[in-house]
Amino acid sequence: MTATCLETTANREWVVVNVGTRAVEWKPMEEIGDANLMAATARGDDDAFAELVRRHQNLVFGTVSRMLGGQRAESEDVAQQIFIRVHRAASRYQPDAKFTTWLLTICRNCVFTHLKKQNRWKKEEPWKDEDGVETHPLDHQMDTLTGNAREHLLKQELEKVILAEIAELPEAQRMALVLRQYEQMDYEDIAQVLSATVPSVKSLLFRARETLRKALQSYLHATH
Amino acid sequence: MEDREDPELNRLLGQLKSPQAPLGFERRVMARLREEREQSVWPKLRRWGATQTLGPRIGFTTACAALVFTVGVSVLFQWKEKQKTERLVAALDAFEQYQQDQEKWPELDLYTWQ
Repeated sequence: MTATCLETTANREWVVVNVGTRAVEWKPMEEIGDANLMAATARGDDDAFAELVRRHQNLVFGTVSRMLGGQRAESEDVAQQIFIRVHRAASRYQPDAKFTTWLLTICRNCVFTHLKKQNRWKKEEPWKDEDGVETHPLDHQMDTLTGNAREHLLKQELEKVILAEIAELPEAQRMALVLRQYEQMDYEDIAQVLSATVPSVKSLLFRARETLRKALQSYLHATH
Repeated sequence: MEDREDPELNRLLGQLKSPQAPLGFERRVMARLREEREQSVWPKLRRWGATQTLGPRIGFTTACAALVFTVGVSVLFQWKEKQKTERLVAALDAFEQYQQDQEKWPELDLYTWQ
């Protein structure tokens, strides 16, 4: 990696000085790489850190939210904690891996710690009718609704059920699935985030998908 | 166990909305960061130091100098103690040697013999 030195100017444009060639270049904040922004954060530049937050907030919030079963307030709190940790660790950051991989490793640690503290994802009782027969959750209100309302409710319920089933998975399987399914990360990066090997990540994903396939069996047919 | 993509399951899981960070998230992170900075102990100590009469003089450098001085004095004392012990051990060894020689050659007055 080329060694660079950054300085922020008043109009949020940055001077990038290549230490090797002594070449000076002007770049807008958006074009500065994550590693350089981290280096600037370590030197106490809050603008650089704010830019990092802006860039990766959806990735972090999305991952946390899916890991915590879609709880928005709780997810925001954990996502904020993750960025605070990133800020604290800025001086120790070594740009030898992709920044997002490093960020998601912190994300994993924070989420796992949070889940251990909470330990509250208990399986909900299955829906039952008056006779105590287990029913499809969507059957309850479907009969009275038509058209868009029915479709909207179906989608909402389906999302809730999917989130709940993902939240039921063991932590490592859940993280692997979220990163693969929703962040389209490759196996190597997931392995790095989870401190595991590629075969074990594949195994985690296989088991997660098997569990979900069984749990969502009725929905797989319902959405045909 | 190899991971195999299942299009049917993928389609179902794909129905989950992509959660976006709430509005003002970045602003709240920065506010929390400032709050954490304010709550950290060292700036508090500095502020406390600045309000005291000797405040401006009790700075970080002074604290470091005091620490170095204390460690230095402690090392010096330990070194002196070690020297004292070594001298004592040497004297005891010499006395032991004298006693052994006395036993070997009792007819000689080794103490005064040169």
